[in-house]
Amino acid sequence: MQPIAIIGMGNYLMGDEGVGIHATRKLRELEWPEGVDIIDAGVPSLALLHMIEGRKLVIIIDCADFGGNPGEIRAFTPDQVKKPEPERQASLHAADLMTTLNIAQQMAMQLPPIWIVGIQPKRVEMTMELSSEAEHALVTLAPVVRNVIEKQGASALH
Amino acid sequence: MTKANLDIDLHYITRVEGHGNIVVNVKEGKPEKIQWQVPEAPRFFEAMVVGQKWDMLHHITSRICGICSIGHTLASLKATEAAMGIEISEQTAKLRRLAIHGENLQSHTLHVGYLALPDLMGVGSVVPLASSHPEELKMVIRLHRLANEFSDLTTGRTTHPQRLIPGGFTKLPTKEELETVRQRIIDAEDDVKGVTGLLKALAPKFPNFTRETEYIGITCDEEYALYDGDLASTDGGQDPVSEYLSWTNEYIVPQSTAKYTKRKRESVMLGALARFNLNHAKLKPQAQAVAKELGLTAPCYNPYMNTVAQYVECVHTLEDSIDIIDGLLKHGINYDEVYPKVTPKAGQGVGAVEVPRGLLIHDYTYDRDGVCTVANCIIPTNQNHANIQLDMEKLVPEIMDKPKEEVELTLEMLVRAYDPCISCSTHYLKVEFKDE
Repeated sequence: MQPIAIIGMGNYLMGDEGVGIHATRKLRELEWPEGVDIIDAGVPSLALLHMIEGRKLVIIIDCADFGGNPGEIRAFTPDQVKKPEPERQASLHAADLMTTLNIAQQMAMQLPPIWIVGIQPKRVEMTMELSSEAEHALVTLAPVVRNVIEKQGASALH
Repeated sequence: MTKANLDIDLHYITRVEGHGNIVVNVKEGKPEKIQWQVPEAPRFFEAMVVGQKWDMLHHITSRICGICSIGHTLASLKATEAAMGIEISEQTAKLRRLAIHGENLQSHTLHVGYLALPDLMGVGSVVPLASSHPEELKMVIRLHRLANEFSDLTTGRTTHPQRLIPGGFTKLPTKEELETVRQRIIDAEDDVKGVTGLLKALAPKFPNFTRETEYIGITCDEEYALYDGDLASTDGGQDPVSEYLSWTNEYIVPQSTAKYTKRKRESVMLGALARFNLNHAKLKPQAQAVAKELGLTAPCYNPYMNTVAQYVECVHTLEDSIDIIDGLLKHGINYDEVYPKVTPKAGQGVGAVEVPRGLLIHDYTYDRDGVCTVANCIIPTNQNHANIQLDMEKLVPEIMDKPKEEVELTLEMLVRAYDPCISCSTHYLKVEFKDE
């Protein structure tokens, strides 16, 4: 297990919802410093926590509706986000990233610093194709991820 | 005569398209409306695989569900192998059995630990358990971690496996990896005892409700069937899985966009309790002992006991996995089996496996180039919807004199007992920043 994990989340059968998965494929084609794992997590529910535990820095790339323009990228930390209202759950199939992180926090699990790189979707519908805006976001994504590693990751690597 | 009045409208809100609703209206002791509604947008995954090549279908269908991704992969591989006449080795079958055990353990520990325990302990979610029952919760987390490692070992991934391909594996686990997992299972013995003790203490909190129904799953002579077997029912009958259409009989109801199924009665139940009712005699000894300790005896007609059956299956999984690993280690792993050669051909085939929520069926037709022309996937949650509805119709009159909050919780626990997958295809984040 490497100290830094870049984790792509989502479902590539659902258009831009799967942009995190497409991102991991794109990022794997590039050179990264030693000590970086790139993980296609798919839709992991609480299994995400076991991918995060024991790392020194985690960067999660996910489709995120933050009210931006389609394809816009925004890097943020979980504590910058308003906590979602507790929802009635029929099963943990429905657990999204913030729900999962909130459960971990409430259970006092030791988690490393986490950055979320959110990509604003244009369309979430049944297709394996990304929108052109999400495709374009993948082209400009790597510098955003590198920037987080440079700012946060120096101590993780040494 | 009761004069109960109830007006219940509970919505399971999920992020995007899927949700389920419980709607109950009782006036002056007379139930006027009792409905389990599943107004989920219909899915067209079957249409997505049409036009795709035979060696891609299992990768695509593994993405339908994050929790049952190994099950979808295996059902898909079995359908493709049946269509093209691809044989698999005994070693591959053993490793696939390990993979399905890993997924069952993952899913069942999630359900028992994070959803059912809070209900039984009378708290709204798993969160308060962190302070009230930290040790018990840590046991569940450790078992869940073990399950993830288990899946990682056998499939190369925690979810959405990559190593499983038609005819075999792209990479096989090493002897050392198998030995490590074996030891981890043995080390988990105390956690299993701990969770068993906790469930035993909480067992009286399961609602005392019974409704006999038809329990369907796969069965075989050799083992507690999860990977292979014939279709079987507690109402009698046994057929090869290729005959599934006469067993599923899908139909449409007004309150649901999900298709319902039925066979000899108005509804069927699938999943751990159905498997237990059908195949309990094939459970490993410790699992049988735990079932007895937790008061689960066959036939059991209480749907709430599905959670207990899931836990009993966890114990079985751990025992059976040790046996499978011992068998693999004893004979040594044949690494020459990597990458079987497959020549695509036209044909139709059905694959069925037992996944955490019950029987999962994939049926594909291929043309001579190995391109899929027709696909049918029948998921277990849809097959259980009619049973949830009929359970509610019997249950509401039995509990409607209780306080509204208690009725709501009892109905919610019923739905959760089935561990339904009502929206697992989309989970994207809805973000509101604190400073905006």
